[in-house]
Amino acid sequence: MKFLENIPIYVQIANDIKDQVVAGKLADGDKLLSLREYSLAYEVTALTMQRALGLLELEDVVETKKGVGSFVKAGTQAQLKVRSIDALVQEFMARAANMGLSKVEILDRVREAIHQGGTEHGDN
Amino acid sequence: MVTIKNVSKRFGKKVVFGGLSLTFKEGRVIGLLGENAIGKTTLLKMIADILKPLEGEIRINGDKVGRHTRERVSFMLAPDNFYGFMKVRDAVQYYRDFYADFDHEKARSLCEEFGLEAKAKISTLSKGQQERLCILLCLCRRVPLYLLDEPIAGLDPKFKHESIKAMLANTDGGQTIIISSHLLRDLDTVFDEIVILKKDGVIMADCEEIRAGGESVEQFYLRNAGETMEATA
Repeated sequence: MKFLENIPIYVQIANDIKDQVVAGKLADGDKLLSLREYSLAYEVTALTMQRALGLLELEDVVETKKGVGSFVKAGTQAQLKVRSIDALVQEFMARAANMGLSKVEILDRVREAIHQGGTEHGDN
Repeated sequence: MVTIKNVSKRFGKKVVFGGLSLTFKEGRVIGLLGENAIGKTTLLKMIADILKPLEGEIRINGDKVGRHTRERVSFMLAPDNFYGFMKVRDAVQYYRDFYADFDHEKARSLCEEFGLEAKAKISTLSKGQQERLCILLCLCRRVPLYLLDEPIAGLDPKFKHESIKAMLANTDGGQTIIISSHLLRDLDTVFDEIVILKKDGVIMADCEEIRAGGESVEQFYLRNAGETMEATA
């Protein structure tokens, strides 16, 4: 994974794991890889990976059972999906507003895009 | 893990350190940075008990650096530490003979992975391959502290990547690794902390905290390494 330079890496990794949950690559109740496996996969130190998993625990996305491993918490997938869709819409709205579009114009453009046969099969 | 207290060091009239104090924390991968000739190698060699400080003291887990701390420290040898006639196999054997903690099997498999043939003469290897051999030998000792002096300076991007992976694969977070480098770009994602040696002191920083401040580690380094405009005497 290519990391952005000015955002903590552990935050980027936590986000990546959340994306995997949203995309269905990881489901509620699934066991996560071990810290060591993740650290090799992301090519970061054990400390960075510890911080990433710590953040996911803090955000209630992951729960760790001592001696067993970390798991995606029940209900996480649905919750994250809502959260990430909200974030996406908000970001889109903010950017459109920055470009000087009114709410009506935004709505029109979205409608137009849909009618032009937009993506039925989102590839993510 | 490593505490350096009021250490001074001179080579002839050149003062390298005049009362340096700092602590390297356990279980971290630490980048030791600073301009050329600022004393990075000297500091690593003092921690490894290859050079002695003039004043002050260095302790590893509370014990003063000396003969008995050497077995806890793996200092990366430079390619020219090996005799010209030595083959890859001989270098591996050399480590095996010298260090009881050397993981011979691991070394053999890494040699294979790195494309280093056992019967190849070290002096005929490319500079990059020589460096890879030195890195892998250093990492195949089982010790709590690793010191790597400019380990990837002569490596191309692919080798750099492989060496970094080998380093991560070889440690589990319990070891401390200090890596001196003047190249930040390829390494900053595997540094937990950086230590910047300066003429007038030292700066330590947590890399994730630097990024949390919206700055890249490289930007932070350039902003803090300082006084590059001054002529170096």
